[in-house]
Amino acid sequence: MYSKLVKWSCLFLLLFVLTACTDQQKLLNPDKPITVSLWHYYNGTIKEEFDTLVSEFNETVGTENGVIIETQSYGEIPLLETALFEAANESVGSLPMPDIFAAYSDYAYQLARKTDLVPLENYFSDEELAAYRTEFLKEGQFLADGKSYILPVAKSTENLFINKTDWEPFAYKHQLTNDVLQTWEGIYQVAEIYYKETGKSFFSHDSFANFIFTFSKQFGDQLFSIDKEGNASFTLTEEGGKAIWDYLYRPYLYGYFKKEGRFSSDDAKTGEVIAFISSTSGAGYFPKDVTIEQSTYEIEPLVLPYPYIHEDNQYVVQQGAGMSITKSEETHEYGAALFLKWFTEIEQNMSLSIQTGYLPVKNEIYENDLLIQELEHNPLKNKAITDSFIVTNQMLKNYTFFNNPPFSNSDLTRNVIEKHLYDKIINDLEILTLEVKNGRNRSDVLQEMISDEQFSEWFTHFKEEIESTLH
Amino acid sequence: MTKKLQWHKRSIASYFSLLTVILILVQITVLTSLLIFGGVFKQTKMSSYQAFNDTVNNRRDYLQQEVRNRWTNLTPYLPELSVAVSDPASSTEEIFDQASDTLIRILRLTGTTGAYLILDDPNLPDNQQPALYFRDYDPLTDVKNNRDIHVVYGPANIASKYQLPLDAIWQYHLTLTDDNEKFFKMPFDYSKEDIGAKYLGYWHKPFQLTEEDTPIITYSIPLKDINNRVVGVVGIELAVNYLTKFLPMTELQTKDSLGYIIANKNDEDEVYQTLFTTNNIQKRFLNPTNLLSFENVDEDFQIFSLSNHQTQDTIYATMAKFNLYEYNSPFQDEEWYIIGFMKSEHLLNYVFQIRNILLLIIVTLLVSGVASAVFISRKMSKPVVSLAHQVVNNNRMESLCLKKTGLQELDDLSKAIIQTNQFMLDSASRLSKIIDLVDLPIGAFEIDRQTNQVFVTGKFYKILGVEDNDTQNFETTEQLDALLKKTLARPEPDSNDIYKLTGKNDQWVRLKFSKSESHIYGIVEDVTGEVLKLRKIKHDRDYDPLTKLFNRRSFQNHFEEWLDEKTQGVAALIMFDLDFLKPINDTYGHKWGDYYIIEAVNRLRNIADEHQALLSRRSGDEFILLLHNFEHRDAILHKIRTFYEQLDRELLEFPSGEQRPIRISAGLTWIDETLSSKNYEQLLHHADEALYYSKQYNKGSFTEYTDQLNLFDD
Repeated sequence: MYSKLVKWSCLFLLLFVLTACTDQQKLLNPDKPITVSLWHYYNGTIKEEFDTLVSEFNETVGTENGVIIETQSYGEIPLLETALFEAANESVGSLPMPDIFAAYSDYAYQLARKTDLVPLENYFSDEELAAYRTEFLKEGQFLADGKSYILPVAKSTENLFINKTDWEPFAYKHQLTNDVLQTWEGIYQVAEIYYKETGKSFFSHDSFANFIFTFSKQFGDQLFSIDKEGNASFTLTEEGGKAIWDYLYRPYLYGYFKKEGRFSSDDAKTGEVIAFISSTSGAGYFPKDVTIEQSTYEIEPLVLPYPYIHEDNQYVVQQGAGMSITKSEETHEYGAALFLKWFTEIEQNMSLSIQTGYLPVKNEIYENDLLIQELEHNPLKNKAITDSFIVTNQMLKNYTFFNNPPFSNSDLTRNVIEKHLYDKIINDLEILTLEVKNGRNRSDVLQEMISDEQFSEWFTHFKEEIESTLH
Repeated sequence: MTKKLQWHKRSIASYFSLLTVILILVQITVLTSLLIFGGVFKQTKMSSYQAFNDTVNNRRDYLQQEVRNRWTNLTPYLPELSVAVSDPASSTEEIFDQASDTLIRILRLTGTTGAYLILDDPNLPDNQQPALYFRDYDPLTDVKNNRDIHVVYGPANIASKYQLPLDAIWQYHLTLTDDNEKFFKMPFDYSKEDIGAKYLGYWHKPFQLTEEDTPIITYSIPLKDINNRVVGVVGIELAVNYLTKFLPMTELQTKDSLGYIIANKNDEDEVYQTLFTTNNIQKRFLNPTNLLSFENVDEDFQIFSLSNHQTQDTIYATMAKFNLYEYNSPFQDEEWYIIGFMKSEHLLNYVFQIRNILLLIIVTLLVSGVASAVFISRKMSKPVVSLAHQVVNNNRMESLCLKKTGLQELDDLSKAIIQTNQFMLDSASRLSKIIDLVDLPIGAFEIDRQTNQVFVTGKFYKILGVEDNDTQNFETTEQLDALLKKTLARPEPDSNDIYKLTGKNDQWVRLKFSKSESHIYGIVEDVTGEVLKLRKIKHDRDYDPLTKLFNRRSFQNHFEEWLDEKTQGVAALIMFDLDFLKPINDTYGHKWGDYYIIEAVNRLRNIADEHQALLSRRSGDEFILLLHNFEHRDAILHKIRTFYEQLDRELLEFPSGEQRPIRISAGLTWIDETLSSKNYEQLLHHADEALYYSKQYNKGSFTEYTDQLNLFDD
């Protein structure tokens, strides 16, 4: 009798030990699925594609493993950022931190100071991480521990998008080649000719901040230097500032460049401009037709590499959020990692890219030209996306892709950089209109506005505002 | 060694098992009938149907409330819009500019994915209509500054003004095509009849504004200016993707749900047309034609089974109709339904569960019942079997010792067996003791052929001549068998069942036994005394007491035996008669006379060797001698002559001191082979005749008988 008791106890103990010694896979139970929350800022096409992929995951791998991904879109980055900070600060009425969130290095860095993020190394093997493009992965290595906190899922850079249908006759007429659009100088000149001939603007920037960052880098200047504590100081030289002034403020004031719509592609669609710098992820928005004064005509896209000042200094920005995992408990962290691994598998990664124009993140796709091959076999309806991929693929060979490393308040300073000169342009254009209305000579007013004194004044203000944001 | 339990028809084990199995079967029958006839299955099924139907109806009610209270709640905005479109001086762009704010509010407050104002302008070419169409792809997320609102149709300057992005399909004008025109034309065309705007609300089933656009459902109502002239339509859009969120599949089943679809049918049709599906699973099981036909399953709860689908499972469905249109309104024939689907395994989950539990109970009952039947009956019969085994294997010579079984009744039984056995043992030993007491030289044995056991009484071995310290060597059947066989090998001649033992002393036993299939019983009796006595009687009967020679009768027997067997050689029968015996007796007394006879006999004995001679005393002074197995008559004659010579030489001292020969007369007759009629009497007669002749004529000598010997002639 006694021995029987001992036997049963041993068996029981063994079972207990066996069930206790499980790998991470066993954390999940398909019969008791867990919900992994994911916050992102995607909207439009990418949101649709993203949702489709999430549904696919939920119906397949998620069902098998017991993970349900619950997504919440904040529509755009600033809103997501606000929600995340409120959650991290546990503000009144805020939601709990999501298990996964779409992260840019700058605010992820800030968030990491308030809440714990999970290093990818906890759930990804070295081999698994090595499959991602190093420069993309590097963006998430912003802490002193050198670990990765952002998994790249879809990246983007910037291209020059041109309304080919309108550009070609103009270029032909003026004996211009596409090459002339490869330098900022060339764009400026072409825009001047175009404006003077048509009275319309030629060019638009989607993101002022990106231009300022990239242009100053190409100029050989640097906006910020960051010390070991992650504090930045404003280091843009006056020469650098002047170049920006000359190539951004001046053409917008002259009307060679124009930004009226919400996005540059909207300006192209309404015929306000025929060329613009935009994110590759915006390639899907390249208009198929132009509507001017209620009449519509179809247009063809032309995609060119990002312009430079000089051939030797080809810098271009690298952006696009990745995904960060928030520290919770192992089951949810594991479920989050499971989703992200699946989401960035070649097939899903390519699918997302093809539908949205975002760049895939896996080395294998680039090494074997998988995306280009896929596009050759199944050309997209939207030619701009295809062309953008081809151009970006070339740029990956010649250009240095950079991202702005996060520092204290880097997200706020970015807003300043985005808005400061843009607001001045909008403001000055209104003043210009008013002054002309009041009978002043347009070119006189313009000369005053673009004068060196005006530059110095702006530069000082700009510097002051940035420095006040930094501290 | 224990025997394995075997199932016999009448064993305790089988009785127990049978009883238990019957009990279980009764239990199962009662349980099953209780569930079936008690209506548990039916009730559970009905409850499942009802729950399914309720869920779908509740979902329909919820959606209908959203439709009524939110999505189609356009009436409050109509006056503003009427005013906006009523100024004849305004251009279309100005009208839109004025209406844009209202439209954005409609979009926000109805919580739909789109809001539009379409004006009728027959002058525009290519079916174009002026339209202001805003879209919010994600109404659940509120964004400051309306930055999430896209302009689908309408002047770009309105987009600039609000900094709204243009939609990917943005056009200045809406182009009506055969595929999309209804959402404008249906309410617009009907509005020319004098019907109130709210009765002309038109739901357009899923369609796309352009090929690239996302599928949407629209609700449009005619818009009248302040002069009650219909100038266009105003409406809202619900993107199918967004609407899908209001049809959560998990509501029907947490996992692997087939979810809802929205379908429509015309009043008279029985076939439903899928308007849109809400998940990928549906695309897999639904017929690609998007037509659905159903078979009635339950009238009360409106449960149907989907008859055309692409899976093996039974798919149940229940539907609820949306009340989209008022009675007698122009579009009332279009009926929209929400249809919920469930696989039978999910819908009837509880029924299956109860059934499975019942099956489990039945199986458990059966298994545990059979197991316990086996266990209990083993537990019950094992001690019985073991007890029986112990009893069978017990040495009958010894007291029974039975192990306790732990069962009261059985232990009582074994106690009784032990007592009975002890009693039997006692009486057996009493019998033995009595036999011993009366000192009868009798022993008995019993061999149990099955158990190989030997049972013997006290004196058995002694009678069979086994030494006391040697008895243990004969306790097995084989050993005893050998002992008996050894004894049986030496039967006593001329007697039944008497055998001589091989001992130092002459000993005889009588051995009798009887055999049955299982046992050998036997009795052994020491008959040495009896045999010896018999032998003495025989001797007395056959021998002359004085001379120890065969008497007359015995001689005759022996002679006749010899005669029967005689095969070869020459033989003669000689009759002797002592001369002068009577005077000798008279002179010297009978005692000496006896001595004289003995001396005479001693001389007669020396005539021939024993194997050639057979001598007997016929009467007081007469002797008969058979000489046989001689080669010639001469040899016999020689022996006789030598005898007579011997008589003369060996003189006998008489009591008087005289030395005188013993005088014997004899008559000889040849026993010729050729003589056919020679019987004993005849031969004796012949010898007697010859003796007579000797007495008469040749006293103290012998005479050969011949035919010529005619005594009486003389």
